[in-house]
Parts: sequence; C-alpha cells; structure tokens
Amino acid sequence: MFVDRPVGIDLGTTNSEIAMLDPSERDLHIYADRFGRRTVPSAVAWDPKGEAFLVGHAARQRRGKTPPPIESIKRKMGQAALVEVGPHALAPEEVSAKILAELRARMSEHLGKQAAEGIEVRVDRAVITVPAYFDAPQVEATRKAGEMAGLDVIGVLQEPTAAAIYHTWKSRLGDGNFLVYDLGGGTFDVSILRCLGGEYQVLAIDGDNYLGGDDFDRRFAEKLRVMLVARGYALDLDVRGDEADRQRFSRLVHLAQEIKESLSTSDVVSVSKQEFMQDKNGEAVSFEGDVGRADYEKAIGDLVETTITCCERALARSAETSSVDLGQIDHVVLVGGSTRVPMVVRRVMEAICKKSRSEKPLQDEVDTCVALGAAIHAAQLGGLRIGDPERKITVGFTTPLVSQGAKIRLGVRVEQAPEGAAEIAILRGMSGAEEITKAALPDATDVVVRLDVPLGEEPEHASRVALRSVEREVLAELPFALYRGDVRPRASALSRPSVVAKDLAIEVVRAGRRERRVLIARGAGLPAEVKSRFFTADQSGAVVLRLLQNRMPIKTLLLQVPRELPVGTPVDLTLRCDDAMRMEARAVVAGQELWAQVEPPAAPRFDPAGAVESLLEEAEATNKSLWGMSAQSYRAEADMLVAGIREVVATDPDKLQALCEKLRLLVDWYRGDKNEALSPPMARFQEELDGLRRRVYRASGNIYGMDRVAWEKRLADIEARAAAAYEASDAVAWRRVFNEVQALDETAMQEEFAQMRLDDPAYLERRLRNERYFAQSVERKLVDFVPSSSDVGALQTTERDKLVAQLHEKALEPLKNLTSDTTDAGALRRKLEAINAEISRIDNASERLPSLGLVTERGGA
Amino acid sequence: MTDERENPFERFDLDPREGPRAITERLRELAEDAGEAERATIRAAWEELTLHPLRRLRAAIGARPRHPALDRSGPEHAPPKLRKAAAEEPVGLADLAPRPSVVQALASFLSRGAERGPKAVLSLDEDPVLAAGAPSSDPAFAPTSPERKR
Amino acid sequence: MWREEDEALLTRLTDEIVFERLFRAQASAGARPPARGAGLCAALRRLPGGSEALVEATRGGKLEPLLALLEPARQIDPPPELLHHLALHHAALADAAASSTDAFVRSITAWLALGREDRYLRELGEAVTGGALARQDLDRALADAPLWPIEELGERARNGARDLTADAQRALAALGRVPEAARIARAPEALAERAARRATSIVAVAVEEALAPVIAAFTEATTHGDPSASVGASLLNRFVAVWRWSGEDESVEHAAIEQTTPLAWAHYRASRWDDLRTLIAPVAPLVDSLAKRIEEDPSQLAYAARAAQMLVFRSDVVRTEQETIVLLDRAITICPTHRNARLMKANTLCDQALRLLPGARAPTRADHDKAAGLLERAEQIYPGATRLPEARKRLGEARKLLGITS
Repeated sequence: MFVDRPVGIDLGTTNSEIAMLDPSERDLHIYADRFGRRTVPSAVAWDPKGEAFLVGHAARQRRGKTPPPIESIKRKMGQAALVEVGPHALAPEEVSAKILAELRARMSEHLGKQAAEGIEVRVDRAVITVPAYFDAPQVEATRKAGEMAGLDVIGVLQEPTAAAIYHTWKSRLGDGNFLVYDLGGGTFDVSILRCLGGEYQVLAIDGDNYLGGDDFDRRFAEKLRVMLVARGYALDLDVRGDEADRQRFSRLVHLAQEIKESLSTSDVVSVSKQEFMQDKNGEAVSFEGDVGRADYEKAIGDLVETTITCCERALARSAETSSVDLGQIDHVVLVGGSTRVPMVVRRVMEAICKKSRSEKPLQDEVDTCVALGAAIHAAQLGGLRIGDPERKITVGFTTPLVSQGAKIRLGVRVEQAPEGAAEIAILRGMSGAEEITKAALPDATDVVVRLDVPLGEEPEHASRVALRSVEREVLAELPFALYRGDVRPRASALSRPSVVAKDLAIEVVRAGRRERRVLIARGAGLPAEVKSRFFTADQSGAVVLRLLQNRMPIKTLLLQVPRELPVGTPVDLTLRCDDAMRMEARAVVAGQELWAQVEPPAAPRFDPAGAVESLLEEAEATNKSLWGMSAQSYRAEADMLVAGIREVVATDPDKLQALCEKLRLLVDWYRGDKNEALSPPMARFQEELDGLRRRVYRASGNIYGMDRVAWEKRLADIEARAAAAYEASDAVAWRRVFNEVQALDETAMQEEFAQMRLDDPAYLERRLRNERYFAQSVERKLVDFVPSSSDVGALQTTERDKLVAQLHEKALEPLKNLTSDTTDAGALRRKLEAINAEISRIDNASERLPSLGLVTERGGA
Repeated sequence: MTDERENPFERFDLDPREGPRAITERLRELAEDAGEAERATIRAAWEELTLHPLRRLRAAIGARPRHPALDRSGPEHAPPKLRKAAAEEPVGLADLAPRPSVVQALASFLSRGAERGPKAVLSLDEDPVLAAGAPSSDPAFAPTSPERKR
Repeated sequence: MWREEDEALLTRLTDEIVFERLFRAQASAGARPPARGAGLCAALRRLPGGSEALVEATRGGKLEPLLALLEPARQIDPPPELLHHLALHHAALADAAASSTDAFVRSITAWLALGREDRYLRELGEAVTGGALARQDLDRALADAPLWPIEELGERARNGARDLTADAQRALAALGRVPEAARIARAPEALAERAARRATSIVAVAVEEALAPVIAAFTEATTHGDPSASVGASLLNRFVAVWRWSGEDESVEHAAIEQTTPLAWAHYRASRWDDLRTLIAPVAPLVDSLAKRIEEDPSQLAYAARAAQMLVFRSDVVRTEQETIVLLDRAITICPTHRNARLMKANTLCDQALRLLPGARAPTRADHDKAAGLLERAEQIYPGATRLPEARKRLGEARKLLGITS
C-alpha cells in the first residue's frame, strides 16, 4: 500500500529544505541528514573521477577545485544562457531539477525508514516556494525544474506567505497583520499579510530579485579586494570577461562570507588567512589584520536601506488595498539566513518594529520556516492519498483528518475502485465489520463524497475506508487513522495564499493611444480566472492580443481575421492562472478560437558583451526625449537601474545581465512612445493654442463681444483643462480639449479669414510651400516609423508602405507640378485644399500604425 | 444594487455589524461545502467584505437593514439557514435570539465539543453565560476582531 | 404560552408576505422579491398609519395605502432607516420593472434625503468599520456615501453605452434628473451641488463611451480614402442614434459636425451636390439643435464657426433661393464674421440683383434701385464677394442705359 502526502520545498539560493505535515497534523517533518543538518546546500557539481553529478554538501566541498560547483543557480532562473557543469551544459532549471530530485530522494528515504512495514511513502507531489517578487519566466523555470525532477507541482507559493503560515501555525498567533521580511541568499521579499479567522489575505508584495546575502558578500568582497590592492597585490579583476578572474573573485567572496559569519557574534575579528589564493602575477595572497563590524556595515549599508525602502513601498500599497499601515502591523517576521546580520535586525527594529505593534521581530527557524509553511499549504491543497494498486483501490482525502469536536466531516474522492464497487464506507478499527458511516459511490472519479464520522475522546482512531459492492461485500479496503485534538489555525477553502505578484495586463488602444489594461491585478489569489470582452478597432485583418506582466511581454496572440470584419466586433478573452502559476489564454473572435499557453520569451533580449555602455547612452537619450508624467515615471525607474548597473558592472555578471534586460525593456517601452504620445502631441496642442492667442492679440477690438481680458480667461480655462487631461493621461479628455481649441480658433479667425485675399499670389505661394512642407514631414514620419519586432511588424510595414505610396501619388507628385504662377487662382486654391485634406488623412492613418490590430475596451478606438 | 451584482451581505444573509472575523467564519462554512463555481463567488464576497473597510462600508450601505425580529429562518426563497441543524436537535438559545454578542459567548461552548448549543435547554438561571454576567449588555459587534485592537 | 419571540416571529412572517405581494405588484408578477425586503414593512409599521396600511394589505389585499407611504416625496420627516429601505427598494424596482427612470429618481431622492441624517450613517459606518478606518477617512466616505448610487447609475449607463441599451438610457435620463431629486429630498445645498456635478461628469463619460465606437468606425472608413456619400450618411445615422439615446446631448452634436465637415468639403470641392445633400441630411436635426443653443447663448461660441459652415453647406443644396437665404442668415446670426456665410450671402444678393438687371436692355427704375440696394448690402456684408464685380459692372451698364449719373 502507498501513502502520498504532498511536501513543501524551499528551493533557496544558498540552501534548500523539504518538509511534510504529518496527517495527524501534530508534527511537521523536516528532512535532516544523519548529522542533523536540515538544510541541503543548493549546489551542483561534476565529479570528474566518478563521472557523476554531486548535489548538496558534497558539491559544495568542491569549492576551489576544478571544475568548481555551481552555486546560487536561483539567480539565473528565468534566463536562457546555459551553465557549464563539468563537460555538460545545462539550463538553470535543469540544475535546479537535480537539487529537487536529490531532496525528493532523501525525503523519500527518510520517510520510508519511519513508515510501517509494507507501506510505501511516495513523495510525488509538492508545493515549491518562490520569492514573492519573481517574474513569470523565473516562476516558470521553477515549476519546470520540479516537473523535471519527477514531481507533480500542485502549487507554487510565495516565500513570505509560507513563513507567515508557519508562524501562525506554530505560535498560534491568531488574527493579525504581518510584515514578513525575507532576506535570502539571492533575493529580498517583503509581504504584508493579514490573518483573519485563520484565513489569509495577501495585502501587498514588494522586493528585489537581485538583492540578498550574496550581494552583501560580493560588496564586502569588493571592499577586501580594494584593501588587498592597496597592500600591493595585483588584483584588478575583469569578472565579466576573464574566467580566472571570476574564480579569484569567488575566493574573495568566500573569505568575505567567513569574516561576515564571525562578525555576527563579535564586533571585531582578527583575520589571518595565509596564501588562500593567487593574484594575477601568480603571487600567493594572504590577508592579515583586524576587521571590524563597522567596516562590514559600511559596505552593505545602502543595500540594507534598499530593503527598508521596499518595505515602505509595500506598506503604502497595503494602505491602499486594505487600509493597513505600519501602525497596524501586529507581527514582524524575519526569514532567511541573511537576517542574522546584526545590522539588518537593528534597522528592521528601528524603521519598522518601533512604529508597529510588534516590539521586536519574530526570528524563529529563519532557515526552515519557509519549507515548513509550504508543507502546511501543501497539505491543504493536496490532502492525503492512499492506495493499493494491486487491489485497485486509490482514495484521496480532501479535508484534514483531525478535528477538535466530536464529529469530523470528511471529504473523500475515490480515484480508483475495483469492478462492481457501488458504495464507500468507513469501518471502525483495523478489522471487523463495524460500519461507522457509508455513502453511495458517485459515477465520476473526481466527485468529493462527504462523510460525517463521529469521534470519541481518544486521540487516535484507527479506521478503514472500504469499497463495497451492492451486496455490501467489501471488495477492497485501506487502513488509515482519524485524530481528535487540537486543530491549529489552518487556512481552508476561503483563502488563496498564493498570489499573482505582478499585474497581468493586455495592451489596448484608446483614443489612438496604446494603453495597458490590467486583467489580473497583483495580489489576486490563485487560481484566478478573468473573462473580458474587447472589440476590434480597425480593419487591418489581424487581431493582436499582447499580454504583459508589468512591462514584460509574455505572450502575443495573433489572430488573422477577414478584412471586412466590421470595427467593433467583439473579441472574448479568457485568462487563467492556476495554483502553480501556469498561465493560459483563450481568445474568440468571429467564430475563431485561439488557445495558448502563456510563456516567457525564450531568447535573451540582451547581449552584455560591450553593449552595456551603448545601452546606458540610449537610456540617457530617451530620458531627454520625454516630458511631463512620462518623464517622471521613466526617470524614477531608469535611475535606479542605471545606478545598479554601474555598481555591479565589474563584480556580478548575473545581476548585470538581469538589470540590463530590465533597462532594455524600459527603454524600448518609452522610446516607442514617440509613436504613441498622447494624440495629438503636446507640441501641436501648444501650437494651436498659441495661434489662437496670437489671433486674439492681433484683433483690434472685441471678438464676439469678449474683450481681451475675457478671452485670456477663456484661454486660461482651456489650458487648465488640457493640463489636467495631460497629467492624468486621459486620452479622451485631451482630444476633446484639443478639438475645442481648433473649433474656437476657427470661430475667432473668421474675421481675419474674411479679409484675406485668398487668391492673392503671395498667399498662394505661401500656401503651396506649406503644403509641400506638410507632405514632407508626414513622409519623414512614415519613413522613420519603427515597426514592432513581433509578428505584427509585417502588418505594420505593409500598411506603412501603402501610405507612403498614397502620399506620393496624391500629394508629393502633384505638388511638384503646381506653381503659384497661374491664371486660375481659385482652381489652384481648391487643389491645394484637396491636397491638404489628403495629407491630413494620411497623417491620421500613420498615427494608427503602432496600434494596428490592437483591440479596444468597452469604449472605442 | 442590482440583481446580477447582488449585495454580498444580503446574498449570504450576513449582518454588516458583526465584523470581519464573524463574516469570515460564516463564509468559511459555506465555502467548505460549496462546489467550485459557488466557492469562487463566496471568495469574491469574502474579499469584498473583509479586505478593505471602505469596501465593507460600501456593501453595508447597499444592504437593507435587517428585520428587527432577527430570525434566520424565513420563507423558502430566503437563503438557506447557515447552521445545518439535525432535526432532532433541541432548540437552543441560538435560534431564538441570535444576537451577535450571545453567539460569540456561546462559541466557547462549541469549541468545547458541544455541537450547536447546550445539549439540553438550560433554564435561564443555569445558563453559564447569563450567570457569569455577559461582558456588556449590547455591544454592536464582537470585540475580538483584530482591527479593533487599540 | 405565547412568548414575545413568537409575536415577533409572527410579525416577521406577516411582513414577509406583505412584502412579497407588494414587490410583485410593483415590479411584475414573476419577479423575485429581494431576500431581506421584509424589513421595509417593519419600518413602515412604525409610521403613522403604517400599521393600518399593513393590516389592509394583509387582510384585504389592498395595497394603495401602502404604496402611498412609499413615495419619498410624501414623507415629511421619515426615519432614516425607512429612507434606507426606500432607497434600496426603489432601486430594486428599477431593476425589475421597465418604467424604471422614475424608480431610479425615487431611489436617488431617498439617498439624498438620507444625506441629511448624519447620525444614522455615522452609526452604521462606525459599526461596520470598527476602528479600522481613520476618523477622517470615515468622515470622507460618509460624506460621499449618498452619491454612491449616482456612481452606480453611471456605471450602468456606461455599460450599456456602446450598444445604446434602453437600460443605459434610463440610467442616463435618471442622472439628468438628479437636481430634481435633490430638491425633493431637501438635501443640504453642498450635497445637492456635489450630486449635480457628479451626475454631469458621469453623463459626459457615458456619452463618450457611446460615441467611441461610432468615431472608430468613422476613422476606419476614412483611413483609406473618402467613403461614398451613402456610406457616409449611414455612418452619420449612427451619430443620430447616439444623439437621441443620450437625450440630445451637445457633445454628440459637436462630434457629428466634426466628422461630417471634412467629408462635406470633399464633395463640395468636387461640386458633387447630390452627394453633399445625401451626406448632410441625417445630421440636420443635430445642426439645428446646436445652432439653437448658440442663438440662445452667444457665449457658446466655440463651435459657432463649424455650425455655421454646416448651415452654409445646407444652403448650397436646398431647392429654393428663399431657403438658401434663411439658412445663410441663420449662419450669420450665430457666427457674425463667418467668411463663407457672408460670401455666399453676398453672392446670393448679387445673383438676385443680376436677375433684376437684364443687361441687354434697360431695367425699370424701380428694379435698378432695388438692385443698387442689394449690391450695397452685398458690399457691406462681404466686399470681396466674387459675384460683386460682375454685378457692379451690370449695374453700371444699366445706369448708363437709364441715363443715371452719380
């Protein structure tokens, strides 16, 4: 017979853990090896002698040897570049899969030893944790790693939430608001959670995917390097380009880690490390001297401040979503080995605990609470499965097997039953026919049967679940136990502790402008499904549904539709995200349907070799080309990324890669803005308004019974409304004000217009020149247009080329042949007006190019 | 306030003045027995009523004040009774005068293994809640919900 | 033994029954009465005459006395709980019944009246939120609460805007009557003002939503070249539909004219008069409505020129000269300096003058004088009128023929 209880796994940057909640819910089993070590290093190495992979402590032992172990692979998850492990080149998720497989095997063995005779304990299903702030590609890679290790990943849970679940369970904390500060080896997360009647709500999430103990170590290692250089060693290292230098820096990082650990417990450490590495001249390097905690803290100070800033951002968000601010935080929880650093604890106490209701932070089990919490959640998601394949019986319990009261309401799902089974019964004891309760067997296999079982006072009740025939003959049965006792607070059907960390959005067009519409907002519990209806906005022959997570495009669905499909045809989109963060999208338009698994793009978007500097230049150029709110939001993000890049360019290739990719995305997004600024652009609005203003000033008397003061007031009011619309990026209001200015201008100019001699050759000459200029500027705009790099690009290019041809045929060519020297001034004028209308039309069409195929919401284009 | 977007307080027959914790407990019971589709609705209602106090307020204002008789049992087309009582259970105080304060006080009975209330109908003199002196005569809401800690 | 609880239970059951009858009578026979509606009856019971009305309804099935009590306008100083019930009751009726604009308005009236009852809302607010909200946040929310139903109406209007649903139209109509509701409710002035402003801006958004698909269709149609007159006209008919749906909203008039003008110019320039006539015919009522607005309030001059131009277009395609002149005069009234209107008017006057001056032979003196007068007016209206030189020449010749000097 087998027993299958899902496990919780914390796949950490430095260390990993695996745990399981006992079916009696009294104990949490965490795997520990024969030395009692409960964490397994997240290290994989190649043993050249044995020609095999090593995982865990054995792999870590290979530090300093060749080939060295791969560590901190978590920081590469979601990237496409392969990693060399000995003679093999593996993807990061394959490396992680080896760690997971190792954990699985060891837990299996560990539980197998403790199980009764004849019972196979299966470790097949797992909840794996991820940092709260992980992007879709990183989550995807994590789940894939689990699947490659042979696990059925039934859930993916954010680490801080897991920690909160554990602490609530263990300390019976009861209802309250939590701030979980999770500083691991490679990532930092902060989550604000509420526990209400035992159920969880995630109120806010923030963090930094490339900020952890590792970064502290590298910072400190850099400081040590500088100290050594000052002492005369040749240690100017090119970590990006030189393998040997990378190894040297690793040695410094290890030294930094050792010193840091000692500094946790004393203020000053006397270091005497002899000949622990060689410098670039081949000279043996020794480090002797005193290092004080203050030196360490100075090196990492701003990194710690960054974590506090993330906390503040998270609190601002939780105040928004649920009115919970710092003053209402009941518990502050520290998670992750790096929270042992005294400075971290100090800053958290000062900046957070002091203003909250929590005197000091909870610091239990910082290394293991995540795995333990994941195990509790796994039990909630996956229940318990027992079976005996030979006897053709497999049964799953969907509810806990413990109750405080005298009755327990069981949920049972019969997955496999022998031929002729018609009934399910619970029988008392290990043998005998005493029936406690029974129910008819449903026809389908995924229906949950509810059975009420009374419980006596004893803590444990041996029972059997039996499948019986119509005549009540037992065809197969399995032993199990029910428990009576303390039920710790446990989330049940109501909470969804696993959440979507970042907004999932779709690109739509509104008033000629591309905008993002959030479909599933950050913080939404998983599983989540949203159905939305959009409408086609043009007749380009294609419908483009571009899905984004934050700014990152994660999938574009491209549907070909007939060109005659009328504008305003409905497009129905269903977006689904399950417990394990698998995303699926389904679109239906005009009877056509398209299903897609949403995946992150596979190829790296950024190639670091030499391109960092040019990327930084581009970023600066983009900065200069924006204004208003766009500029502000761009600058806030770009500055942070650029600062980060400059800092790690010499010390951390992985982080450099990640930051550069983010900056690349940011720049692309805002540079596209040239094509998509509020339509019409601010400059044109200003032009119109100025033209109107000049007209008013030129007039000698009142225009329309309004004197200059009244006109000024009117213009000021218009300007104020325009500014409000611009700042709020309200494309519709913006366009409305612009139209009003144009209309008003037309009214004001009638008098001037009346006095113009429209057939005056000088006027016609001017007009002709203007039209030529207009046509040329539209041509330039068309030629400069940068089509999208995705499938839509071809569509856009075709349309653009068509417009250019029309421009030539209807405007540029005729203009070449016109001259103001003519006898029929009226005819010339009319021709010019007609040409002007054509150019305007083509100009408007050109503004739609970037949003070709995009859908629009309830409103219109 | 329309049929399609039925007010969650009305739909699940909840008293807006009970506080988020009581609301959570009632909805949890319903969710555990519900099918997947219904569960999604219950979860949405739970979020609406407990995530942000302003949303709860908005829902409360959109909910009709409860009938003064405060009896949970009504004509067939009212939502089902929340407590799933077996028919032979003796009628407990909970049925006749389910004021939130009393319900909360009775909760301690339930946690000690009693099913729905005292196993026998106690006379008012023997009623431990009344004999001990209930905390206050008429709090408008249960005092244990976290947001009210000060 | 008949306990108090049993009395209460009986009352409650009575209320449930009466409520069901009442709701079905007001909404429709098959409507599902809202689950907690009985509280309304309990609240009515406490009014003077309430008990009796309920008894009538129970025993004799006569609902009139009860119905009378449901009018928010009739209440002199209704208890806040009753107002709360009424507000929700009428809103539910609005959902269930077809003639729901009035029901919406009654509901809003009740809400705004509730806005006078600070204490009720505050007590409810405090009970519901406990200490979870800061005092000022709660205050702000409570001040806003009577306006929430207005926002919900706006939501309804927006949702149906794209398809111009009747439901959304009723919501829009109700939003237009918010000032009326505020008056009946004797709402405090500040609240009434906020309600009116909120309603106005919400209406604008809904109308925008209704216009957007029409504008999108227009944009698509004109992207690749000018659509034919019949296609243009059918697109313009959509504007008319939105205009009627919105209760003749002014922004629809603006949008329609904006889209029509370039298409009209194209036909005009090419002298395609029949096409021009076909194109502009559907939007005539909108143009007239806008012109009337400007006539009544000359400070509305933003769209004066464009409206005038539309009238000028129409003047080009009407059958009689009399109609032409009327239209041109109207154009000049609303946009006095309008170049094209003046030009056309002047030219028309010249044409009239020319008809009076045969050219080959002398006209009558009377005709001559008339013609001279016409030309003088024409010159005043638009000195650069294109027909003026020819007309003047003809006048000169006529004078010669008549032997007039100076």
